[in-house]
Parts: sequence; C-alpha cells; structure tokens
Amino acid sequence: MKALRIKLYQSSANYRKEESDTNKMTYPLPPFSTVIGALHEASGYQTYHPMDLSIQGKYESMHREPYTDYCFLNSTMDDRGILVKMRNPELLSSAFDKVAAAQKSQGNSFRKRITIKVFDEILYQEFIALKELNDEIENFKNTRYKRIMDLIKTRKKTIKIKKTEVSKGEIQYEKLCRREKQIKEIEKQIKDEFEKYKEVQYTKPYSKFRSLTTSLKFYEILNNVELVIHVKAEETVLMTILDNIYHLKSIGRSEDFVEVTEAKIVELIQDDNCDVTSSFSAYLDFRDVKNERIFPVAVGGGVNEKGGTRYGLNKTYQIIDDKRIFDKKSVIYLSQYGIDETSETIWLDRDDDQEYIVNFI
Amino acid sequence: MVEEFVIDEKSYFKLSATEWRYSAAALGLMRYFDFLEIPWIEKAFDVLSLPEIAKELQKSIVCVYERSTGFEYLCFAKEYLSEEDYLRFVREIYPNDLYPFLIEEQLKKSVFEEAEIKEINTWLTGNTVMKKIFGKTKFTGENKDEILTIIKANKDLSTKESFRYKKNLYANYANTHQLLNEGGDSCRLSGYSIDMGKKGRSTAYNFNVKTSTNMDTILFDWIPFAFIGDREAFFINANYDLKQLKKINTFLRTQVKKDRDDDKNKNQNVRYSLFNSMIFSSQFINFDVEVIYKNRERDFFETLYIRHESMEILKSMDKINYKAFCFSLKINDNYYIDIQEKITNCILNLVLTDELIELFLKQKNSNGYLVSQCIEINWLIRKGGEVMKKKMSGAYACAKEVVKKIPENKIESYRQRLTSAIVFKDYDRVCQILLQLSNYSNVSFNFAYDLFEDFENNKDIAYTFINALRKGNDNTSNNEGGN
Repeated sequence: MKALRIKLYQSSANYRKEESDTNKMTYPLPPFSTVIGALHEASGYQTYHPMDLSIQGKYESMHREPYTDYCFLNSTMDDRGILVKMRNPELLSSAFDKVAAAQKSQGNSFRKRITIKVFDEILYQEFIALKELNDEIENFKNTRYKRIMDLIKTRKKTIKIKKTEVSKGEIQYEKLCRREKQIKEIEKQIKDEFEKYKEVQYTKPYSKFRSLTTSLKFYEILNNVELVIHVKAEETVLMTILDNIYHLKSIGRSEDFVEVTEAKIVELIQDDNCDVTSSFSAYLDFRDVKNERIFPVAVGGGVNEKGGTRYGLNKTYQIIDDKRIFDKKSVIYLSQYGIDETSETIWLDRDDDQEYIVNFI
Repeated sequence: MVEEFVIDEKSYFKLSATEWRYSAAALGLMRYFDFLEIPWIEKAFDVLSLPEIAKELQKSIVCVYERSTGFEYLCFAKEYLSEEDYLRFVREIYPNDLYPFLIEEQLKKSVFEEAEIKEINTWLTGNTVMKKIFGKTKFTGENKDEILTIIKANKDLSTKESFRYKKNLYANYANTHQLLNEGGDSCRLSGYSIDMGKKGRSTAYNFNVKTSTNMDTILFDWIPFAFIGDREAFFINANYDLKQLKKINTFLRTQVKKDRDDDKNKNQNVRYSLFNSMIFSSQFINFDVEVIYKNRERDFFETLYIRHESMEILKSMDKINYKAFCFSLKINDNYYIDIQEKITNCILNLVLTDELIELFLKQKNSNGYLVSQCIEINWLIRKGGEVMKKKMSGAYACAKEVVKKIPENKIESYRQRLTSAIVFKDYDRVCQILLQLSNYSNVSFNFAYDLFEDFENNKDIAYTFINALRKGNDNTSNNEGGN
C-alpha cells in the first residue's frame, strides 16, 4: 500500500490539551485533528479530505514556559484592567495603544479618573469626550427626543381613534390615512437620524476602546520534537500534500515552526513473521493493543501486559450549533512497543536501516 | 468524556477516561462507590446498548468495554450522587482535616487539661465556617455536651464549607463556587475555570462565545479524591483500564502511608514515595505513564510524562541513595531549592544534573556524597557504560594520589580553582590547572587526555576528579537527607 511519510522537526511545541487555560498542558505528540488541520491548511483544502494517520515521534525534554496573556474583556469596563484603543476594532490583535491602566484591585474609575495611570492624555481625553457625548445622547434621548416621540405617539393614537369614527372610503378617512403615513415617516426619519448620529458619533468610535487584562500564564513546552507521520488517503490527496508540504509552517501553536526533513511516498508492506520494536513513541489504536496485535515492552525487556496512558483523541469534527463536535478515537500512548506480525491496520515501513511500525487511525 | 442518559425516566451517567480529568473523576467515583458498597459488574459489548444494561444499573455500577470503538465506560445511576453521601465520603477520606471531627474525637475524653481546652478553642475559631457555627460559644472543659450538640446539628454544613474552602482540600483543585453544582459554562478545575461573563469571548474560537465547547460536570467534584499528597499531590493516569487505574492508586496510597509510618519525623512526602516505588517495586508502574501534578502554591495542574527511557534510569537507580536527595537546600531566608524536585525533573527530562553538581561543589560544607550520587545519575542518563566507569575510577584514583602527595591547603586551593573554572565553563582553564597540578604533585593524569579531546562529553570525569580532591572519603558517606 502506498502512503506518504513525512518526517518533521520542531525545536519547540505545545499540543494543547483542550480547555487547559492558566497552564496550557500539552499532549506528548500532536493529536490527529491538529495534524489533519495543518496538512489541509498547507494543501489549501477548504473542505475535509478523508485521511488516516499514524503519528509517532519523540521529544528531548519538557519545560514550563511563562508568558504574558492578553485578554480582551467581553465589554469595556470602567473599573479594571488596561484601557486600550484598537487600531482596528474588528480585529482583537496586539495592534493597540494603551490609554490608561487601573492601579488598584478595586475602586478604580477611568471615567472619574480615580486611581488610574494615564499613558496617553490625548486618547484619554478622546475616551472622556465620548463618554460625555454618550451622556448627552442619553440625556437628549430622555428629554427632547422622548418628548417628540411621546407627541408622535399621542398624534398616532388620536388619528387611530378618529379613524374608528369615520367609515372607510370617506374623504376624511383618506385624509387621516395620509396624515398617519406622514407622521410615521417623520417618526422613522427622526429615529434613523438619531440612530445614525449615535452610531457615527459614539458607537463606532467607542468600539475602538477595549478593556484588556494581562496575567501570567504558562505553556508546557516540548523541546526538540521529532515526528514521523504516515498519511493514508486517495492518491491525488497524497500528491497534493506532497506538492505543498513546504507550505506546512507549524503544528501546534502558530509559533511552533516545522522543519520538514523528509516527505516521500513509500510502499508499506505486510509481513506475517516479523519481530520489530519501535524506537519512537506513538499513539496506537487501543483495540490493537488490547487484542495483542501490538505489545508494550516492559522496562528491562519482556512483554508488559498493561501499560501506557489512554486518550480519546480528536480526529474529525462536525459543526453543530456553531460548535465543533469532534469524533474521538481511543488510543494509547506508548514509547516502547513491538509487533510479531502485521494486520489490516498495522503495516511496516522498511526504509534502509529504519523500520517503522505504522498503525493507521 | 461524559454523557447523561435517561432510561425509564431515570438518569444515568456514562463516563469514559478519555483525558486525565475524566480518568481522575472515574477513579474518585470508584473510591466513592466502594465506600457506599455498591457492587461492580464488568461487561463487554461490540456496541454498547444502554437499555441492555439498564437492569444491572438499577443496583450496581457497570464497567463496559466497547469492542468496536475501544472505549471503556463507567456507567452508573445519577441517584448515587447525593450531597449527603458525598459529605459522608469527605468525612471518611479527610478525618484529620475537618475541625468539627477533630473536636469530636478530642471530646471523647471526660477530663481535659488546660492545653487541650486551649487547642479545642483554637479549632472552634479555626476558620470562618467554624466562627459562624459556634459564634461566641467557647469550650470551658465542662460544656462538652453543648459543643457536641452544635457539631451534630451542623455536621453537613461544617463538612461542606470546610471542605470547600480549606486550601489543601477542594480549594486546591477547583473553583470553590462550583462545589456540588451541576455543570457550568466552563470547567470548574483550577487552571481551567474561566469567568465566561467577562472573558468568554477571548477564550472562544474566533472570539465567538457560541463556539465554546467547554465541558463542566458535577463529576469533576470527585477529582480531588484521585490525588495523593498534600503540598504536592499526584494523580497517576495509568488508565489502560479502570481496574489498573484503581490498582496503581491503591498501591501508591498504601506506600505513602507505609513511608510516613516508617519515617521518624513523619514528614516523608509523596514525591519520595512515588519515585522510590518506581525504583524499587516491580509491582508498581514499569511503563510509560502520564502523571498529573498539583502543587498547592500554583493555581493550575501540570503534566509529568514518565517515559520508558526515564523509567529505565529509575529502575537502574537501586544502587543510588535516592533518599539522600530528599531535602531542600537553603539559599537565603526566602529561597530554598527543592533538590528532590530538581533531581526527578532531570531524570524525567533526561537532563544532566550538572547544575546541581556545580551547586554542591560550590557549597562551603562538604557535599561530596551528593556530588558522587549526581555523577552516578549523569552516568545513567548518558548511558556511559563500563568504559566511562573505568575512566571515572581512574580520575578518582589520581585525585586520591594527589591528596596523599600535596599539603591540605594546596588541595583546597586547587579544588577551588578547578570548581571556579568548570562553573564558568572555562574548560581550557580546567585543563591548564590539571596540567599544573599534575606537574606540582608529580602524578600522571591519564584520564585528562579524554578531557583535552572532548571536555563536554567527558565532563563527569572532571567532576569526579574535583569531588575526590579532598581529605577523607566522602563518596561513602551516609549523610541521608543531605545537610
């Protein structure tokens, strides 16, 4: 059987365990969904192209790396964090200017300038001016605007009553209808103008101001990672990946750059009488280990009946109600294991001196 | 993963150990079900059909292996998860951490000394919950019944609130607001819990909260029972199957108790028991395993991967005195280095212990024994073999020859100079000093040729020589526990 073998090197990597936040914990090897996503991205695929993967590799060491986490709050808060002005409000990125920062854990106010440190007075005055404009708009809305709206409401109500007093088809009725239409148009015009003014003068400029909080968080980082990935898919898919393999930039975080050391189509073989022990750790299909098609090697030699840590790893997903619902695969992580014979899911890749046990999932 | 399902209007849970959180919850629940004495049945199906096991689920816990997917599920009725039983279980597991029950135990006596009365009164105001329950009531030595009545009346409240807020109990593992609540917007565990109302957008995909797939379940409240330890707590995720998970946990729990009982100072920690068991016990883990670590001073969980290679080193460490590393080295009043943690991290990451060797060499007090043990560990990590052993023995013999030939003040001086040079990675300088010393002492240093050729890979020879360059024989010292 033909498969694509990709050998990769990463000087550092974090394959995040879902939902871990303060310390972003890592899996020892990239999960299937991570690799599938990276290969699709490199190949320019916009839809899923079915593929099975065998992921094996090793890392030198692991450490915990601190970093400053920037978190934009859901809404702009008056009493906490750092007030920033975004260069592009549509994009939450690091392109922002610091306006002011709260100094205490509580009791601060950007509006009232209580226990804050202002970094940029001009931007701060812009923020205050917007806040004051908002007050004026609210004031206008609750006074003059409300009075006019109340008047329109009363007029509309009066016309409605008058309309019930005359019968349809009469001239008076037609007049009332015209008048009602006129009033509704005026109401719409006032409303639209008010909303437009608010949108242009306040909502849009204010949306550039955001609350940002910073905190110390950590990544668990694997150092000097070597990966050997075998891909089984339709031949056209394999060729597309092979042609685009140097577009593969990272696996894991965007900064976990990948160096592709080898990518080639290989012929996988079946062998009913082999004795191969892997020199890489891998995610293995739990059913193959349970059914003793793959056996874990115990420390000091010999077969270990029960070893390793099991994971339910993400492979593909469906979007249901905007959420990615993943299909999970039951795998076991082992770093010393062997086979006596191959099977429909276990293949051998013999290449010069190296032999790889390929367990497709 | 966890799923809730309903059969005949009764709710059940189906839990699979697909990640450490679910493994830990499953282990905590298994211990809880054992406490409730609920029987346990094992089943295997090609495809799990829940109605087929509905009958068994009425009165037992069912552990199902599904052949088609390779997943194993712990299935049980939701009715077993009552607050009352949970709190009873908490009292069973942490009898020494809950003040009311310490007081109850103490009040079994009839006559009290002054010191005992004082201690009980300290417990009565031990935390906010106790203050709230007992108010101004104090123990006088004669109002035993009054105190016991208050404890009895507030048993569940005091258990729940003490468990919730004590730094070594629930507060160490999860968001205290979430105890025994049904699932929330984000996972309740420390380091996972997020204020979704304020920070939800930043953590969601494409800043869209609707895409968030955070998972929270009441079952995570059983996670603390899976961890072993106090200041440092460990959960060994050996989840080949649920039986194995429980077996490994029970083994370590027993070992920790045994080590504590054997230790005169009663302060033996869990890290010691964990690694000591790996070194000496064949019944304990001898395969790759993920260990989840929780340090009370950090508000998140960490991963330790114990790989096959590290395990091989640990298993070869039976001749190394592991206990000698179980101490903290004082650097100043506010800074201590946990030597045991450093050593175990070196082994797990296959990193040489050079940093520690140099630290010990620089110490005023003689730490020759620890240096020799660290060199042994380096030898195991480098897979030095017999050749390296011979070279190190040669260096050791040369150093002892030098010691015999030159005065003590000169030995100390040369040792200081060699240490300084090696700490500053000035390897040429080390070689020069060795030549001077060889010339001065008139001893031939055959081992030095390896250093001239490749210092970095033969560094342990230099360490052995410097360490042996002292009067007396530190390498056979038995200063267990360091200084």
